[in-house]
Amino acid sequence: MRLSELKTGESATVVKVLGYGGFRRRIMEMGFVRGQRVTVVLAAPLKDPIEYHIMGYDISLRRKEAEMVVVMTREEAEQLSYDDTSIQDVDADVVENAIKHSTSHISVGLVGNPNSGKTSLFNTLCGRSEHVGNYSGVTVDAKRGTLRHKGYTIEITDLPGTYALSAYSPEEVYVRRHLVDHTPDIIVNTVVASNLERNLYLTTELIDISPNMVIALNMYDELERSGAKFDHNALGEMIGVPMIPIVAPSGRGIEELLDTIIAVHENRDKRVRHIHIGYGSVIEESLEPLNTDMRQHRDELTAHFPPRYFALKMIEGDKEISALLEATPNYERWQRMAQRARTEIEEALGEDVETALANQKYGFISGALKETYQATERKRNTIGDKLDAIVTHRIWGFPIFFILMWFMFYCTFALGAYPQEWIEMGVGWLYDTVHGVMGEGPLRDMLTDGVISGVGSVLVFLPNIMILYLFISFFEDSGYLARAAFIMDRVMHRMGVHGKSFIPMVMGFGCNVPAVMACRTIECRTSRIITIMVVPFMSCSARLPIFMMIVGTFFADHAGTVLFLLYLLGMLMAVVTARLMRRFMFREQEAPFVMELSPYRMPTAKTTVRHMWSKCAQYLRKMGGLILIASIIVWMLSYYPRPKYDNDTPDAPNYELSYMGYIGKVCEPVFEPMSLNWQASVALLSGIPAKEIVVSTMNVLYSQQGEPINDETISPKVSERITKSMSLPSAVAFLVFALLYLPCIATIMAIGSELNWKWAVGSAVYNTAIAWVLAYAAYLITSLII
Amino acid sequence: MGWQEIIVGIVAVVVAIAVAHRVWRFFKCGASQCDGCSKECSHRRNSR
Repeated sequence: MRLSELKTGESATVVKVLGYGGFRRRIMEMGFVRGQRVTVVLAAPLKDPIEYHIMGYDISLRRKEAEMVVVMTREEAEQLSYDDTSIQDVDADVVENAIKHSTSHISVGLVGNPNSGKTSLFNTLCGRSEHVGNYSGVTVDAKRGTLRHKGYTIEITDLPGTYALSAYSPEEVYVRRHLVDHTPDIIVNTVVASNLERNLYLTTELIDISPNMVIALNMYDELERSGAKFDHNALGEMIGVPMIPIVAPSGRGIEELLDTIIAVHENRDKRVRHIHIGYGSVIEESLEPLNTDMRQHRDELTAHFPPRYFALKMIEGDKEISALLEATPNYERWQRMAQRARTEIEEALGEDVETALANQKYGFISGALKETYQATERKRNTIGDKLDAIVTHRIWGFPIFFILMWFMFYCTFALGAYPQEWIEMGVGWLYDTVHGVMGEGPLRDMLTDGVISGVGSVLVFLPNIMILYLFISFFEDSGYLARAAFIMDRVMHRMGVHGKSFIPMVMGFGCNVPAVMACRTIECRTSRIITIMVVPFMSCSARLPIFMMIVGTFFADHAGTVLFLLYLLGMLMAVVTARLMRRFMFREQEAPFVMELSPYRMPTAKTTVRHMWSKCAQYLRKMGGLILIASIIVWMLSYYPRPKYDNDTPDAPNYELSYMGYIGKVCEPVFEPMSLNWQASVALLSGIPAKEIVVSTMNVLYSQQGEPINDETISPKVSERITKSMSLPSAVAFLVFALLYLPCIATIMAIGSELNWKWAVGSAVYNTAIAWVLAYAAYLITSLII
Repeated sequence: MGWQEIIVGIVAVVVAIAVAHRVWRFFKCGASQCDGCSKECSHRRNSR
């Protein structure tokens, strides 16, 4: 019986906790574990919540939560031992015996498409002869049968065939209600092996509900006869569900299926893991607010399904789920949120929610099968198939990809240069205006040299970032980015990461912050960590001005080659780091996962622009606050303490005597082996908030008193002074250090936010150490050569 | 001390508080986006 059925004063022993994930864990943390005695202390006036006494303390549970705890009273145990003589043990407690008996009992729900051979499997398993037929709808209600296998009593429930778990047909409603009311320990999903694509649609729905599932690949002999190649183990690992080939009528694979059911029940099967089906950026973004809100009010939801499933079904407009949630206090708000999400999705994708979700699920299946299934002859009818044949072609795929990437970067820098110039002019105008309007004093200097110059230097890169995201959004929404990741999968695997890691790494050339955030799409935790840690080696666009300045000064004749070599060194370090991490830190075999190949879709201008803007707004919000504070701090450190004004040059900044100058002097010994002076040390240090500050700091520090200071370009005189104070080997060391040393604060914070602060600090320390060692090596090698 | 110095002083205090707040949060639990140590905290779960 359920805990909620106990009356005040009654006691029982906990048998098991039903339900899912977080809820189940929380209840078990409270002490509701097998064998614990629980007593009902009292119920609140409205019979909810109910207070229980367990493990020496009182605890209150809502009735809904108590419904999920299976308990056994002494009367029940005695009745059971009376009925079943096999569990009678005179030496042991009758309740203990009964519980032991009940834990060796597994309830299995047989779920699958109509005509997928469920009843045939049921008959083979239970030795029954229920009616079977080669047409859908043979089973109209649930049938139960039991069997004994390796000490377990397995109770099988044959459910009606269904294509999905929506609330459209009575079968769908029936199956879902059964899963809610009876909560089977294991779901066995029968899938017709020769018709995987359609059958796996139901699997995607079941995955959302329960991780305790086994797939029975029925009629596997048909698939073998057809000559198709199918790596069912790989697919099983990808979707986190064991797949067992069977031929139900002949009994082939049945033994393995039963063994797997027991292994999954005992949490021994390592293939089992709970994955989420990715529904694409549009749906995920619209789903997120409702999902988050429902997660926060998890207590109000029935514990049978995860909050994400409820959120999805509400957006789909599922009436059954709505009825289930109607009594909850937040139902009205959730309805409004679901309606808003529905409208957003329909406007963005130009199709109704059900179609959009179905397309994404088929995209997931298509991606999974592309990696594991090879049909004998593939019909290439649709435009999508024809496009796929070209863009994922083993020869043409790579050149097409590189041309598109080159075009993206070309447009990012070439087209972005115009608005960048306008913003620079605007920032310059604002600087001059504030400088002219305000009276002389520290506030004016803070606003102009600190706030406007600091924030302005970041703002100028906004057009480049917008263009980059415009392309990325277009590639993402059209479905091309998934194909790009697909063709790069093998290269990435050699690095020890997954094909999906390629997308954030490409984005890292633009800006490391969104690249780190883009790693969220990588499901595998180890791959995600490795990718996040190597992204800072992808030289971001903010480092480009530093390279331009030094390369332009020292290697004017071979600027292009040196730049290329620098980018190459960054990529090489990324590869080395990834391999080292996989070799020494994350040795375990990477769990394969599905790269969704959603159908091609022409993105609407509105969706693409909205995506682009949402990412840019995020960039502005995060960077604006951080850059503002960092700029003010850098300014204060370089402005104070103020020495007494020299009458001859009252405006001259005396950086050498400032705190920044002092810090530079302290850091100087670190860079002394590379013969870098304190100005270079300070410039590198000032690049911690944002790399572009390095250029302006060097410009300021190498300018002479009274000379106009230009933040973004470098005057010939400054260039001359740099040449005088820095040797060629020092310049090479400076370039290598600037390329590899710790990423900007925004990236470190992004790493902290995506992983945790230990990784963020680790990344900063590792990158800086590598940068120093390689910079020193570069200095020595260059010194030997020249 | 002029009015500009006073405003810069106030800004310095605000910046110091903002930095101190983040440092405090960092030492408190290590999560960059604190949600009050709820059970749903991503840092607590240490995975997404």
